[in-house]
Amino acid sequence: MNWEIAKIGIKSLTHNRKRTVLTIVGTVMGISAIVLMIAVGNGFQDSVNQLVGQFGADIITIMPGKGGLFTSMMSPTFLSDDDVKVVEHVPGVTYVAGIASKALPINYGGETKVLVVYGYPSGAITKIYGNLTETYIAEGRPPRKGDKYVAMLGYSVAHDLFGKDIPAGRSIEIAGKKFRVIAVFRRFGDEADDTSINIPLSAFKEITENQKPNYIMITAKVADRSQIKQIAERIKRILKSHRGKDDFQVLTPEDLANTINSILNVVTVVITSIAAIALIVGAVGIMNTMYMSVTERTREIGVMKAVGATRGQIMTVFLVEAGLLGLIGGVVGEGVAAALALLVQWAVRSFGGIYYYSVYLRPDLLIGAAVFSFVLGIVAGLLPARRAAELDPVVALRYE
Amino acid sequence: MSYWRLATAGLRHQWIRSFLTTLGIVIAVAAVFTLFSTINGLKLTVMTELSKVGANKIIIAPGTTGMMNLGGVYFTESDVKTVRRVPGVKDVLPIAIASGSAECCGKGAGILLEGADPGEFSKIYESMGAYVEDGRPLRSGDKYTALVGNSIAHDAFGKDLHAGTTILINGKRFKIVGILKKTGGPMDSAVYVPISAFEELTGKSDKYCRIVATTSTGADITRIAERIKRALKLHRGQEDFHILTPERMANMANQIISIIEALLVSIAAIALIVGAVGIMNTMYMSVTERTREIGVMKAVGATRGQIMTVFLVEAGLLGLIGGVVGTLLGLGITSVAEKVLQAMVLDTYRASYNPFVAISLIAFSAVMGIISGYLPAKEGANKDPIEAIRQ
Repeated sequence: MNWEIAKIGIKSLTHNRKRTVLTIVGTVMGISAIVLMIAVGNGFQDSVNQLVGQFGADIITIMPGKGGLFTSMMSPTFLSDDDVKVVEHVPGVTYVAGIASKALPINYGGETKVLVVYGYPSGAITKIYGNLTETYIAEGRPPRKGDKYVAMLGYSVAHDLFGKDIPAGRSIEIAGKKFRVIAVFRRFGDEADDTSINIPLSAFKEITENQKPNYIMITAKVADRSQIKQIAERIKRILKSHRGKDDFQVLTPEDLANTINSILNVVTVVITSIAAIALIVGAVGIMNTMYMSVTERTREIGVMKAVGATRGQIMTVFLVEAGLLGLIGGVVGEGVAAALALLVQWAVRSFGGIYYYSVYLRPDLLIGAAVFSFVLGIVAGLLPARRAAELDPVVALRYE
Repeated sequence: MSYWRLATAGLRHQWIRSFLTTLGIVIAVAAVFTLFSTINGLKLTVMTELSKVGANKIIIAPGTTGMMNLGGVYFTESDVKTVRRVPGVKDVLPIAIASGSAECCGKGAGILLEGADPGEFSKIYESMGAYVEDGRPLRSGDKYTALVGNSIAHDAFGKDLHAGTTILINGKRFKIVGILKKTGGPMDSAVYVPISAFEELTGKSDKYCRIVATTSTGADITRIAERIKRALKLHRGQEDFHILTPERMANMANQIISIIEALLVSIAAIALIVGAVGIMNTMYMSVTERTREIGVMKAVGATRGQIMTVFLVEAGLLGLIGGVVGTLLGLGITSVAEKVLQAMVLDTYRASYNPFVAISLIAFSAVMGIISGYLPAKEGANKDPIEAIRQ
């Protein structure tokens, strides 16, 4: 019986095809905009978590300065050689790399620019980041054992800053000393990384004529991931008593991921709620269509009432129709969103520099959006359906 | 006149339908208008703020870009002298920066500690009077006094700090002389102290991270900035610094906000398209319902063009009314948002009510209505009068 009633609702969709299609098109746009924004936004959050989980779950970062990443990059406090040694001796830490930095003059093709040069202990990059390094190299090779006067360049250094491009294999002069470029990174998208020059720490010490350079960052690898919080606490305590003051921050992968995720969250929420406006307009369209449908079928409603249909049954007919309009719009909208999302994924991977980026097109989002659009259709259909159910059968039968 | 009557008859005939169709446009137009006015207002506010603080200021910062100092480049007193000698430069204020910690009421917080000559500071930031919400800026003769950023004063200690309050900076007692207004930037967590106190606290001297230079009003600031660059490069032997003029900073801010604006407005514009589809839908319905009427009109000699006009006027009206009401609604939402933003973010914020935006949006919705009505109107006009009249 109920199925019979539902079938009337389904059939009425085919009654006026053009209207049905146009109503669905409205919902499709609204749903696809929302699903696309969530898929793209959550995709970014996923990549942050993935990056942290896969490549850095056992790494603690120690930065000079207090009060967030921004402040510590603005204030020229540095960590020292002694600090590196102190961290090395913290129980639970297996490997420590201090990353030194200094602005140095770079000469290439007769042009001189002053850029920030970073010194890494040899082997540190591969030891800490593993094969991630290779995915980030656009041309050339990762550093090898025994490399000394070699440099890895950020994308802008190789392509934008100097009059001529610097391909891997060429030599540049850093503070008057010749370095062979072994690798050029892909574009990271942030200025600090894209304008960086990375050389082995031994060479860094030599050209700066300073065996105890300033460190912008210390990374420590721990043996046991599950102990990372306790070890971070330990580092904090020991380093504080060594430096005599609390002027640095110890960040665990979780801290880093939380900072970035909370920003991404705000952005996703803002953009999704603006996209939701389109869906509201689509829902108004469903309501409109349902009112028209009720008006058109006034006579039919009169007949149904005359043969004993209850108010509930008549409401069901129209709610099924409205819900279906929403559901079909939702499902098609998801298809459109999925296609666009894959396009975004391709663009982010090829131009945005995040090679492990995947948009979030999981069952929970897709099923959730479909259910949501169905419910939205029903909500939009409520008032028109009630109007139909409350029609006076005598008046309705007389309607032309 | 008769077109008008015929077209509005269609609208009045089905008032719920007309209302709901218009409602779609209203929501979409209101959203677009609100986003435009609010973000544009933000852009203008940022510009005004920048020009107020820095119309005649040149900032010399280390490194190749931004305000970051990853390379450990410092300026010295002799660099400051070099800048001072550049023709056109009026006052020069070197600022030393370090990260520090503040303590008050049993709680600690990380701060950006900035040290500057208090006398020069008040000279350069004379116009900054407007930026101190409580108390005064630093003055010559000050020693253990501090000018405190807004979020340090109000958020960091779970208690509001005032001019006159004493806090511990890196363990040393300082009296707060003033609280800065909220800027939304890193200045909010900065604390300014006299350079002598700064050197005592950090043990560093003659190491500056930023130099601020002023020019006399009306001077060609871009040319003076160029001169400073040349002189300083010669003096330091290399260009390991960059120069920010108010113009450059404004351009940077403008660019970023414009990108955000374009993104958000285009997402909101999707709603407009959905609204247009709604108009098309309604017009198809209207044409179907009035098939018989079309037949009669044709029978008494109405041309195709006349019939199309009737429906295009109806569609255009739906768009136009939606545009007008939507703009008014957007105006209301924008002014509410203005109050909220003033209270929560920046009290100098003003929304930008641009009549041009309002008029273009209204015109756009009307034209969009006519375009959406085109296909349905053509269908109506092409109906065979004999078939139509028989319906």
